[in-house]
Amino acid sequence: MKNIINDKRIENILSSFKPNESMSLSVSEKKDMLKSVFDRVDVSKEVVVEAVKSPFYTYKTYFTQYLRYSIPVLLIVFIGTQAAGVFTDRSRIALSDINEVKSNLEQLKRSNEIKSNLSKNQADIKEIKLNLASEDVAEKDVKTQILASQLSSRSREIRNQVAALISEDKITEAKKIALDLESALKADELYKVSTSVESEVFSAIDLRVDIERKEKNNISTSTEKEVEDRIIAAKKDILDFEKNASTTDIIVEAEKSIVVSEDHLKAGDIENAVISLQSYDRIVADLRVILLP
Amino acid sequence: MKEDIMFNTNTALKSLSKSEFNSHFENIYNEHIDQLYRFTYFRVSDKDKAIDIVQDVYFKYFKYLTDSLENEGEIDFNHKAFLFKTIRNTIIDHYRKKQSQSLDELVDAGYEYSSDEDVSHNTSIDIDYKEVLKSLKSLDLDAQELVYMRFIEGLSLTDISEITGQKENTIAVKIHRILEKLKQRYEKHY
Repeated sequence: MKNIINDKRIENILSSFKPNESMSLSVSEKKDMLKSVFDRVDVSKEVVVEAVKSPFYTYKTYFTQYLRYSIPVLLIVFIGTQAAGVFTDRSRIALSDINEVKSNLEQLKRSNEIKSNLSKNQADIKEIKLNLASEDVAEKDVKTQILASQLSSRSREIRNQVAALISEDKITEAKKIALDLESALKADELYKVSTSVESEVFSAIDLRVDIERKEKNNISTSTEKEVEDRIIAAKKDILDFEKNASTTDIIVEAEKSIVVSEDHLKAGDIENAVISLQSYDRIVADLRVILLP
Repeated sequence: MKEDIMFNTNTALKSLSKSEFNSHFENIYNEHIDQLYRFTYFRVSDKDKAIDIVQDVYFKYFKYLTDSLENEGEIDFNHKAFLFKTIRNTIIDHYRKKQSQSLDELVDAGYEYSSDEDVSHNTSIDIDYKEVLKSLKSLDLDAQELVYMRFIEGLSLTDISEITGQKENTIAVKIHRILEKLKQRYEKHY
């Protein structure tokens, strides 16, 4: 006999799941947690006070003056030239939008340029770190502060460029760059010691999550073919990773995501196929950072 | 909402002493801590990790409050939605490192069926409950999360909309579809 259950009954059953006692925090645990939050707030304030008192601002030597004034100017010039490059490229894309082939080529070129900017930024930061490490003058806090500020401002710049891509509905390119940025920031040791870099990581995560949501909501008739192509490309990438990487666990995880995506695709569940591919993309972005020289 | 009245209608917030501000913060903390902890524990299935995540989010929330006051002179946002959204993003980050999805086991995560109807003496209710739970486990992560927020924590569509960044209508349609799916999967077993 077929048993029929109505919607209301299901709602009632779902609403009846209640946390048991093991799911509650005790009063003392809650108090301890609150105390830790306040302690952390106090510590973060102390760090700011210490930074203000740093010798970097009190002792005026050629080196500190160079760091204070020349580097910001160079940075502004650097960001300015990057922005100019992006605007020029945007105009180029607009002009070359005569046919789809041309447009696609420009799009590929532009996202490659942003990617190379990302690598260039990473290389620059690495160089600054090396230079600062060799200087005895600057104290550790000052070095951290300088690096964190450079890293954060460059990250903001990349995020702006990604936002420009999103506004043009270039979701795939935007997602690749956002994932690379997020993985690069997380791989940096400043992530654990600098609140500004930490907050940049969270902004990058927010950005990536928004892009993924957009991608998931943009499912159309052409998505199935796109998912098929992405799975084929992903399988090729996995073969390359297997040749070059020793981190087999991560590769196995990436492979699993492809298999799950393929299964969903076969079952006609495009949305879940896309979600599994998003999981693959995240794993691969981390893997690429690990493989960086 | 209680906490909004607390922060939004007080025009002299900037002149609050540190202890007064902390006391406001503590009220909001106490108002949401249980719900946020349950949501996090439900997703990560690890008490220490859940406590770490919730503490971290409250720290960010405190900073956000003080920064908003400093820069804009007022605090005008949905606190509950902000906290849930931040928790959600932090958990997503956690899943990037740990791919297993602990959402599967409602009961293992510390939830039990609790109704006025006595399950132990009513076989048909017991079967309904088990079948719905089984169907729930087969849903994707997003769908499970929607069910959790809407039915188990009883969040409003407006709150869920702010947390997930989707329109209220979209959420309502999705929930309707999920219920339909649950219903179909349940009926398939009979």
